[in-house]
Amino acid sequence: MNRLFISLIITILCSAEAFCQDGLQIDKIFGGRYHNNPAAAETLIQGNDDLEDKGISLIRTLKLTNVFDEANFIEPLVTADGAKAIEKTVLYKDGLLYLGFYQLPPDGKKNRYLIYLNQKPKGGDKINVIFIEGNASYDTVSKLIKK
Amino acid sequence: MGQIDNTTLENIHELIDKFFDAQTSPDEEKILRQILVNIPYSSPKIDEARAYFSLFAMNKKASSRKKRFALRRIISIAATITVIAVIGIAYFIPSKPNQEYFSCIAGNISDDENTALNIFYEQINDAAEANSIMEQTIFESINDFSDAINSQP
Repeated sequence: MNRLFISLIITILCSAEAFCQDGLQIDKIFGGRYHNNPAAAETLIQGNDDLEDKGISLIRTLKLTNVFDEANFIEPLVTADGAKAIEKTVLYKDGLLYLGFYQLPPDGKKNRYLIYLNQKPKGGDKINVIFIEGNASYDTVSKLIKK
Repeated sequence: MGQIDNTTLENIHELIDKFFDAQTSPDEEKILRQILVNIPYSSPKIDEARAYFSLFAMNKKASSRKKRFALRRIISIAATITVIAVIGIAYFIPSKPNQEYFSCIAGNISDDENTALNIFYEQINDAAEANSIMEQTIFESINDFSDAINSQP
């Protein structure tokens, strides 16, 4: 009985491990790397009622202004995570990833999305990275970025 | 204890016969058991009855042991299922997160809701503009392709 009990617990923990969040490459840009950068603005939003109504429970964003060199670090992270995307829409311009919208593999029951924008090819001054997590569907999130 | 007389022995044998014929009352069975326990006397019939009662007692013990074991097993299984259910519920049912707003702008940290939301919506707006440009680019490419096809002799 004890062996059965232990076996069951181990099975559950192993199954749970399979559902745990795969570490994303873009995690490297959040949580401190740019906190002291005068050109950076980082946000975290969790539990906002309006966004929860849309099925969005967590948002993490990074905005860099006029520091396009950082694209050399950030773009490979985005494309690495994007390589595992379930759905994606990307546009390259002048050899750079201009816009990327990815639905990443879910973390358990939570859908995950990544939006990347490098405005340099179009004469803008920003690099934007937005990570979204929640129950929202691909259509719901893509509507956010439709004019 | 001394020897018992033949009459008593005969009575005991009669009682044993009555018992094996299933004709004894519960009180008579009780008396018979006491007799078998207390008299040091032996006869084939008495030994047979003693053997029967010992076996019966063992079965009773075994049966109650089996019952106890079964109950313990049921409790173990129930405990296992409960633990698994609790772990499953705790892990798979999402709990509502607390509200949290964090922004760090040029090294300045804030927990102001509006600051964080403004930055987010500004970035969403940028992405929407870029998406619009992308759709326009795709549309133009399709038009170019269509023109190329149509210009074929």
